[in-house]
Amino acid sequence: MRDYELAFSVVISTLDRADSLRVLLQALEAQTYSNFEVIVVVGPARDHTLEVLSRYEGRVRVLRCSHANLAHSRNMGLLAARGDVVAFIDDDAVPCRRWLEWLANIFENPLIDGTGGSVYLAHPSQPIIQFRIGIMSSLGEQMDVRSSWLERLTSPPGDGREWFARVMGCNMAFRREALLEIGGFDEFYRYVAEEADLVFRLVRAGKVVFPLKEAPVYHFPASSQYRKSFTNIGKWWIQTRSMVYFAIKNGLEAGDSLSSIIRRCFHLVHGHFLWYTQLLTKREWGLRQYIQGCMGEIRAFFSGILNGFFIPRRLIQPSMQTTSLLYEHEPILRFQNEHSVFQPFPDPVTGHRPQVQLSEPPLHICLLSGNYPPMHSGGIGRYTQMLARGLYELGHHVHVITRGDKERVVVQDGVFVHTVPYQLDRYHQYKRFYNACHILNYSHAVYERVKRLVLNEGIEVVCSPLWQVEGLVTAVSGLLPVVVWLQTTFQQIAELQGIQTRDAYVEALLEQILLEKAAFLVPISSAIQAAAQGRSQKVGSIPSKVIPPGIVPVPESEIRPFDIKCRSAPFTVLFVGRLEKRKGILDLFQAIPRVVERFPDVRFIIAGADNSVHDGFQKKMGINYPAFFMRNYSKYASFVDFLGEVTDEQLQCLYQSCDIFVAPSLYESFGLVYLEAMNYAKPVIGCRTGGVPEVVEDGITGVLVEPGSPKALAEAILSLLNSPEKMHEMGLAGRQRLLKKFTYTAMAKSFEGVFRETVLAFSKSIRSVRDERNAFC
Amino acid sequence: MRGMPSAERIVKDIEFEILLGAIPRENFGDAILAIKAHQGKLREEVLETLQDSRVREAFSEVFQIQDMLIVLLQEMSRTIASLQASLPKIVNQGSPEALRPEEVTLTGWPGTGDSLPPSVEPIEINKFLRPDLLRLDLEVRPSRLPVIGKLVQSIKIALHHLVLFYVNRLGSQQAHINKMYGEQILELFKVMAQQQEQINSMGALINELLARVQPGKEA
Repeated sequence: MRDYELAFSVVISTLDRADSLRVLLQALEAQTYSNFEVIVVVGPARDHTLEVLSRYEGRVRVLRCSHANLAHSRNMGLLAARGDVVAFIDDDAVPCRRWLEWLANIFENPLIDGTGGSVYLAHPSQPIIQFRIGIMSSLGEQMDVRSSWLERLTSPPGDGREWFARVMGCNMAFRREALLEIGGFDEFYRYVAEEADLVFRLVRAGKVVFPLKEAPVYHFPASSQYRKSFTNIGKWWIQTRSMVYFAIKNGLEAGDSLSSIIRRCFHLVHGHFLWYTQLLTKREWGLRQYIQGCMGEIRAFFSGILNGFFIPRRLIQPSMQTTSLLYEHEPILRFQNEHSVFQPFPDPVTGHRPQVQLSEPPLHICLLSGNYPPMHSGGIGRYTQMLARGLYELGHHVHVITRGDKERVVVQDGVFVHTVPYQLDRYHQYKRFYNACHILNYSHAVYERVKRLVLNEGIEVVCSPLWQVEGLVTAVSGLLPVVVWLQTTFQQIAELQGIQTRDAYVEALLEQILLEKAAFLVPISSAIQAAAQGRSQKVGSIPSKVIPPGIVPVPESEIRPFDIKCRSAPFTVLFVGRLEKRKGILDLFQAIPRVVERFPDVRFIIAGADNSVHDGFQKKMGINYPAFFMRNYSKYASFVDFLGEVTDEQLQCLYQSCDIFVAPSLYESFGLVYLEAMNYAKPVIGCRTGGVPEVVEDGITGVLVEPGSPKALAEAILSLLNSPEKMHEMGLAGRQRLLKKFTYTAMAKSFEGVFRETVLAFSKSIRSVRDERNAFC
Repeated sequence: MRGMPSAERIVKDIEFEILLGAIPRENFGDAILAIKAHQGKLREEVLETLQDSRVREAFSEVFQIQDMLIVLLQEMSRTIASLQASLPKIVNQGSPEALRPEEVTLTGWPGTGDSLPPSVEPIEINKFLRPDLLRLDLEVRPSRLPVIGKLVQSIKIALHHLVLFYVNRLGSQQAHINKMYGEQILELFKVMAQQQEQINSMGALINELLARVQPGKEA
């Protein structure tokens, strides 16, 4: 336990970025560490920055800086700071929830004078890790490295250069005393490299700067007077000016040879010239822009040379520090108030914050989904997206972990989506079981990410689909309660499709383990609930609640109920789903001739990827499903269009333009496709199996037939085709049913209750274990 | 099914991997990583060939224990490296010049008792650096043959001289190399001695710093 709570001063320098600043201030309200003040240094602003700040009157200290100079602005913040530690963050960034808590833990070590965490570029247009531990030389050569490289700092790369650990200006913190001792930031730097220069001087003054791999800040680059974000438009010469100065000043201090310093300076300018020429040849820049850029470079080069060699550093003078010292024992003006804890988290990309009044603090939830739109759009991915969006709109802080080739964070609709890569570097003993080995390794990678999210964001609960058991390792670890969302189980699919491999056996075992380790079960239908509870007594004893999935209702203007008065021939019957046995595609193939024979004015559209390889059809018949239809039902080929896998936009158009939707699945745990068709007021035809009867009301919103009955299916299609009024009424009734029971907000509200209950039960169990341990000790 | 893992086995394996992961995985030396990769490959091969599930389980346990040992090694190497990286900065507070990497080299932590091995002294090395140690002299036994004995003797001597010429030439080159090695070793001894002094002073400084920090905490 800390004897004394460190006070932080968070300094934000801002200029004409009122919207980003507003988001940052809202995000700071969610910090878990409360002993901090916020100082905003406003440059010569021309936008509504002061209006944004006026809403925080009495909570934020506002300083005015007469000219646009980042280093000067940071120095003003430093001089006004009263905290023990001064943390700097950019006005277009958002810190993780436990940012200050991390920093406070670091500064508990009295030997450390400075630190900085990683920076994620989380904007959807450019998601990358912008910075995670790096080193920089006295000449400004920089290298982002992993921490293991830092260990080799005694013999770093570079010929005799002095290298030091660097931090990024967007996410850094220093002891106030240490900064004042070295005179703060060098005010020659208007932009770029002021933080590197500061760290260099700190290290040379014998201070310890210890960078962190965690404590991330999410960066959403906004345009400034020097650059237009996500474009090549900018005054890039400002970088040359700063870096030439940096190389000269610090190179000389570090004892680098004059020739290497000059070479480095020319290298910097040369690099920019090459880039400008490239932009010109690619026609991204015009000739005028090119000339302006080149002139700017020359000017910046000479300015850097002149100031570097002949003008002393512009640091805070000791006389200026006296003002700061006068206030150093005054208590800080705390930023957070009693309402802060109830504030929903803003969407850093759009600046939108859900307009809800929370009576309890928002939940911090992590949803798992191996596929997630827009990268992949499988059923579970879409369910998860809807749930994430619904929970965000209810004011909760939502993180999604999905599969990806690189580690990234991107914010979509207010939800933080983390992509996690994985390798087969664990569970070697399961390599004989190909799928199970992949599942276990990915689940472990997910667990590692969840651990980091707990550390950085204070996640309280994890929700995992049963499919692919992504939350298995997290559930086994006992780190957090795992709510398992039950869709069709692998075991059911294996039984339906007759899969009896060793791999399938292990996969079914993994499912069983996750079910037994779950803190709460959320089946998507009563049918699934019954199937899961029947698997074992242990699973039956886990609390559960059926929550049907929900979707976003399309606006009324977009729905297309069947038009009885004016309709265009031919009628369109749409099938959406993977082409596989379970989805009843063979039944549909058999039904098509019966329909066409009696009602020739009809077209069948079949959208979905062929899955004949995985369901064993290809092996058995030697051809895929579309080829099978063309061969066996060639007479009816002109009545059917196989579209293959379609995009989301195409799918919406297909739903909108069809007359009847049909999905004769032999088993569906729920059937999102029916809802999607009902969304556009279309009558649906399905089978009386699994969760389908819970979605489709037979005779009211659609027609249900027995599974595996092509004749009944054909009759159902014909009954609707012959009765346009019925099509119209059923479509509208389906739409009403959706609005009443199956919206994403209704789903999110039900989940909210489950999550709160689970978090409460988990914290109680943790507390009781702790009490037991204490009693034992 | 024969040779299939049970649910308990899977849970145990997951718990074991979680345990392994509790020790940071990213900052390890390349050599240890190579051993780990080799061990993974070996395990795969061994487990693939074994049919008996009990033997397989036993082998699996052994490999897991080895995994744990490797991770412990990795953790130790990481700790040592991070101590080496952070020590110069901590110790040399107030003397920025000493922070330059080329001027500060550390070989160990004062607490580990690293010092010059008592059995090896510089004087011993000096002893073996004499070039004459590698020099061979003529040693030809006199021939007992009558009449041609002297002739044989002189031919033997001539041949021996020829061989000795080349051997001694090689020897002198080797002696030169040895001398260079020796000088380097002596230089290293010097550096080690300096480092030992540095380490001692660092230890003292750390103790002093700790003493300074402790009362502050208590207060």
